[in-house]
Amino acid sequence: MKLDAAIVARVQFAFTVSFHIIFPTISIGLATFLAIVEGLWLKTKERVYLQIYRFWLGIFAMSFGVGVVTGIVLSFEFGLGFARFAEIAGPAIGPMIALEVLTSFFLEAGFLGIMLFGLHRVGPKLHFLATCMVALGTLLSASWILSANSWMQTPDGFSYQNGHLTVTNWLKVVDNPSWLYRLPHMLAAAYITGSFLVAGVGAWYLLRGKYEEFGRRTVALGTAFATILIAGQVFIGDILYGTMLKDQPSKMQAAEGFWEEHSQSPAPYYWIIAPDQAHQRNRFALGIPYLGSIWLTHTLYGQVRGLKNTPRDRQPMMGMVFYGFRVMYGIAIVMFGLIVASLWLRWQQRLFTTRWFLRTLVIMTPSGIVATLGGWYTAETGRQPWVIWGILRTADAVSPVPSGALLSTLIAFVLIYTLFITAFLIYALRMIRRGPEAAPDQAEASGSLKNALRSQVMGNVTATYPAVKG
Amino acid sequence: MSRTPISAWRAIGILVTTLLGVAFFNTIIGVFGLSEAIIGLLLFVCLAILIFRRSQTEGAPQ
Repeated sequence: MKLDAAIVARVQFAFTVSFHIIFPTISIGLATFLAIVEGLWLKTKERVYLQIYRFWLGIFAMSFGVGVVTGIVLSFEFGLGFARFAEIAGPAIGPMIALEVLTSFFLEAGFLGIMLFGLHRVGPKLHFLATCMVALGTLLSASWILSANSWMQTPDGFSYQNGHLTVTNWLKVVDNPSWLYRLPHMLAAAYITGSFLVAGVGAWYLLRGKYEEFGRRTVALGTAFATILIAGQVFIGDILYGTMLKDQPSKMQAAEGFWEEHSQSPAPYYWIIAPDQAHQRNRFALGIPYLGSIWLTHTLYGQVRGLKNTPRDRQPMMGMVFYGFRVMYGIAIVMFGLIVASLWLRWQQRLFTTRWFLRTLVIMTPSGIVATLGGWYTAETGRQPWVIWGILRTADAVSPVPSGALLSTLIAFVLIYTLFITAFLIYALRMIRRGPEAAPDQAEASGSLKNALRSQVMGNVTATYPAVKG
Repeated sequence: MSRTPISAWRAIGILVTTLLGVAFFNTIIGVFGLSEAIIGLLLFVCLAILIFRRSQTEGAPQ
């Protein structure tokens, strides 16, 4: 059997990028959460905040490390698996990747050591600054990557002649038509992921009757952040939907599961379909009547445009786009329902004592990650058959590499990444099982680096630290 | 017998909360227009912040 090199290259990139995106999503969400928690500790001096900080710092460090390592692989894949893409897109994408290194990686590299190992060695305010800088670094990193990816979705600020791309306006390349909508959408997704992660672990402790103060505080913080963020996210998501409808209509046509140029009126909102791309129809479709018109056209009888509006050779595969979108949107609806329930329970003063709610939070712990993956599948499969929208087809972007070579490296990636995820899960689950008390709740900072060094040199300096209450 | 009225009130509360949730969701995703979505979002956030201030019962989950 002869494998198509283009398919194997795409599967390889899909696998490595899907694995990678999990970890930056966690680390972006947790970095900001850690900055807020450390700020609360500095303000209130309640030791539970320091305990929360120490506990989540370990998991943040692990996800940050795996995220960096798996991210480097992607840069190589651009050149090795998609050489034509690297050649054409290089003048626009290359500087943005370099700017990510120069701004966010340098910032993170400068402060990450202090954040991870400096709690005992520098003053609390300098340590807080380090945490904030790392959080800012993750945000900058996301900004550059989203700018590069958004340029692939909605390219702007260039001229393309005889197979050569020349940048004519850098501002338009960076601030391309979809970037300002996709960036807050991705950042909110990462922060929501972090919120559900910490709330889920806190809820698990409350259900087990262990580390209750820690559990109560993380459930309160996690659900509070999630409440604000998920409301903002559905708002941003709808705005982004509108812009995508204009910029990438075929993506949104596929995402809604309609084939005909105009759907029936009123249009249902499909939740399950069995698309038949060859015959341009659904073999089966299950949806809620009227809801498609209401949600997608904001009228009771509006018609939705289907994928037949796009020529066949420019259509994405409907099934992938549809289910990616449904996973993301379905989870967002469940999340919204859960935060409304959390507000009701808070009103009734039963947030920490309602078992069904805490159990649901535990189940929803990884929901942010799954929703983010769904969103990325929608974005990337919906852009097909283009790798750079309207400029370069994915099939034309692949390197002339034998499919056997791509397959063997794909197998190697699967094996190595299985090892990574196993190690990460073992480490994270062991930390959660051991509980927050395994992480010291009293910092022992010397107050300054000079004092820390003096104690190492002189050996008789007593460390001082602000008193904590709690 | 004494539990029945509480359950009835709770059921009404759940129903009202569900309806409010559905209304806020549809407003925020822009079913009624962009300006209504912005107002709905701000109202939801303000309401949430007010509710966050309530103290919570501490005890075993039930």
